[in-house]
Amino acid sequence: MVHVELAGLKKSYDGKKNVIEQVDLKLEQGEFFVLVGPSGCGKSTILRMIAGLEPITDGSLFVNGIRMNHTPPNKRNLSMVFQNYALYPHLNVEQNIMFGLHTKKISREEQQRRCADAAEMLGLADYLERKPRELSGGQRQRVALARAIVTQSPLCLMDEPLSNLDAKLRARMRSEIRQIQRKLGITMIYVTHDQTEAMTMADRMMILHEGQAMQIGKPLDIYNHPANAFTATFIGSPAMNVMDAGINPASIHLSQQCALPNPMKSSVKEASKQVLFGIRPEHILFSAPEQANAVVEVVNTEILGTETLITFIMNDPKKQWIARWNGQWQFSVGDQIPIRFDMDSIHLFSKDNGRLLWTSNEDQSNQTAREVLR
Amino acid sequence: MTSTKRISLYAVLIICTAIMMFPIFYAVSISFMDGKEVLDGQLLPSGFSLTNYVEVFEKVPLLTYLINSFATSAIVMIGQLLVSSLAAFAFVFMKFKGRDFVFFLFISTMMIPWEATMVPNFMTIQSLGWTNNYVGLTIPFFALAFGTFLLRQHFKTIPKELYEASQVAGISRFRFFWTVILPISRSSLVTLGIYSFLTNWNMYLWPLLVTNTESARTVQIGLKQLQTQEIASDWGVVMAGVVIVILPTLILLFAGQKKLQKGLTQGALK
Amino acid sequence: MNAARELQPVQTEEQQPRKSRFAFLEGWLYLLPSIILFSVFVFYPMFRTIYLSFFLADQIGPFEFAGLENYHYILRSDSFQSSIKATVLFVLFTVPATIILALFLALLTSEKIMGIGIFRTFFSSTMGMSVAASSVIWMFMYNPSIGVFSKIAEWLGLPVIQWLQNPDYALLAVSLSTIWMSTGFAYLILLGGLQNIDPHLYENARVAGVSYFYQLRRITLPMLSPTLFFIITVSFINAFQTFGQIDILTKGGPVESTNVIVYSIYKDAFINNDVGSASAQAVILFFCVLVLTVLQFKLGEKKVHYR
Repeated sequence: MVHVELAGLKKSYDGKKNVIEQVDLKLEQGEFFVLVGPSGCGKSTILRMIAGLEPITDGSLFVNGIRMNHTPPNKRNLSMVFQNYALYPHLNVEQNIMFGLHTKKISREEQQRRCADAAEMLGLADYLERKPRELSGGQRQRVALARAIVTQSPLCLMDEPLSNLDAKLRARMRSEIRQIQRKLGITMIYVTHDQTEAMTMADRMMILHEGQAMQIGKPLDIYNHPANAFTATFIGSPAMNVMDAGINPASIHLSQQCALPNPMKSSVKEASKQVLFGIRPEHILFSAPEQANAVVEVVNTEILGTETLITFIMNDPKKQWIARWNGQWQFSVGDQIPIRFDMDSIHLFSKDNGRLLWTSNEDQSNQTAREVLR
Repeated sequence: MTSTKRISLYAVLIICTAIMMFPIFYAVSISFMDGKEVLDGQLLPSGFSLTNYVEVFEKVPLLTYLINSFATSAIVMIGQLLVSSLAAFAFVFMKFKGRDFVFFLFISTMMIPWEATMVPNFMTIQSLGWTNNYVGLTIPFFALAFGTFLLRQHFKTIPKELYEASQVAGISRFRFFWTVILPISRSSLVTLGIYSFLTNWNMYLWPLLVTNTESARTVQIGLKQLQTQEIASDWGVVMAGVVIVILPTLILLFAGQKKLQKGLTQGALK
Repeated sequence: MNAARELQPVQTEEQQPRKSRFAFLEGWLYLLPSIILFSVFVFYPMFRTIYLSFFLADQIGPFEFAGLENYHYILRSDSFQSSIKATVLFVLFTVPATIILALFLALLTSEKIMGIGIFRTFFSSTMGMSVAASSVIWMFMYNPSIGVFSKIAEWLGLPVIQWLQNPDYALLAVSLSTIWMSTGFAYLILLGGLQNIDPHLYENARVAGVSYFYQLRRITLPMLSPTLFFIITVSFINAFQTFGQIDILTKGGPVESTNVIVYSIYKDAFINNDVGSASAQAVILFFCVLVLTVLQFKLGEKKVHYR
């Protein structure tokens, strides 16, 4: 059943310019939903509107079908984890975890029990007497998690909770948070700027750009079938190569030397002479010279052990492409290598608005497109 | 730093200390002298006789004055801390119509010299019947723009997420102020507390105006009284009084010098 | 989620929050104590002072409207003119000397060397000294027969000066004691300002190998300028408001040579019982301080948001 619904949600600070444009979203009970986008895209603002920390300018927020636009935060039955954890420096771990529980009319014994359970679950049992400043970053993060857990709220909001941790710890906490969420069956709304977090944690996610929802869907669907050039370049690392290309009914021109057959049938508007050509690094293949689409010049190689990233150019040195190949490839700068594009995996985007014009798997693309708003 | 530089720096520091501390040292020294030694103009007493200290308590009701000063300074300190922190909390954690206007009003109080308003203030206190008691000595100083700014400066460094987390948890605003903001601002409150205690202990003009009975006077007025009574006759006793009066504030200053320096600079700038 | 909730209509309007109207008042509630106190003890008496300055008045209240008579009177009176002269001279004697002395001491003690804490405590100690106590000590030091200044003069074979009784020296003597009293506070503020300067700036200067005075001129003083500006303004304002040392050391005399403006107000209001004229002088004092404060805001706007 639908747990949280945003209907035409808008936010404006000055009454003129909307920082959030018309967001519509329905979250299922127990879903792990990620709001992802570059900094300043408005993802935190949406979260804060859901929390009640930021007034809603226009549109509605429903929780369990009840309109909640003006309900104070503590009446919305949710918990929240902040980027800086918002731990009270003068309280010890136990007091921090139980902070505010008394307002929910929970008996002292019950508070203690929940705190002990949460501390056990997160491995904090030995630290209950410590002050936040005596804890490591990871432990503080766990205290913040514990504080959210003990409220037993059915909805949990997290605002970049892992961004202050080092890379290794972050990877571990990703999986830990996901496991806890599944175990408790709570609905999670999780804000991050890190596309890896979004990809690895989300049941579904929404990609935001300048206050607009660019795409909503399952991580893999979005990865495989980005609805627009922004989503295509934002999700995936290294990013999808998206380059200007000339187009006519017969072919796509990436450079003077490199032309590919135009897969779009006559149904596509002939008028567009310029498109954006997109292909993921793993879909650019090393090729036998006779099958090659182009011979390109290597600018840089990064050997990561199991795979190698090759940066190359065709003619224009400003347009750098990246290819990702399995194994260890050793090229020198300036090497000329033959490459081939996997034509089943190319994307064409409109040059005017970035919308997807064509991709090889039309069926799936349409399904994704249905989830795209407006 | 080379050792010659270091030695010369210490030399300069010691000379400066000698000059700056001389008046205090001199006062302490005189307080142990008998009349003859004072008249001879000696620098050091021949012994550490406490006669003058005993005598000063007999000549003026110094104990009463000390109690008055302690009480009024403590009352003003607590009053200022409360009133200023409430106002600073509103300025930092609340948004409401007219807030900026009130902030401007607070700033403008700093442009009004207290001495320019003392005549009507005195009349107010008189007509309220607050002369010669603690109320008249303390209440007018409870609101302090400087204190509000100093605390506001500190409150602004508190992450707003702490406030938001308490909102999500359903803690009332006042409870948040009382159980979170005040405890975690302890160091700023201590700074302001020291400052306000010092200032009020050392206040001179206002107690001079609103007290004229021995039971209500503060130590500063006591010193003036002592000096007028004893002039040129028994400086040893006067200096014993001086030493007793400056001791509490000097101890407070020595203990809180670091905090005060940091806090006052913060409140003053930025 | 239980079934009851599912049966609810899909979209229900929430209860309108009851507290929204009260929330607006809540902020004012926190400010109320300050506002009341400021109104009663700052704003009201300020307006009352301006009002009284247009009346002939005594400590009971105004009894006759006088227009600008009070201002005419004080501006023409020799007493007020000497008071203005004493105030201006006093300010000029004390403020620059205090700042320079405090800055010198602050620079001396800004290096972290062994035992520096003791020196810092010593140099800030006069901040803990009350005006009354300091004045009594200085009074003794100025004593022509047994004070330390006379002893030194005697020892050097110089004539003994009646510091506080001689109109030529009294103001200077009061100023000297005031410089000593106000150095502690100025020192503390300036030391704080010095310690706020990013030490990397000095490390970089050391790597660049520039001299101490170059550092002082190009790093320390510019970085310290907001603090300096603040303490200069505060010192000016404090100097204009001097009272205690005058009351104890000279009582405005001899021949009104130390009758600074606040002492003059005090005397007119509480001894001569001429509240009208005292109020007019208070208004003039108010404007002096106002001009100084506005100057501070204007000049220091970029670096100092408020004092």
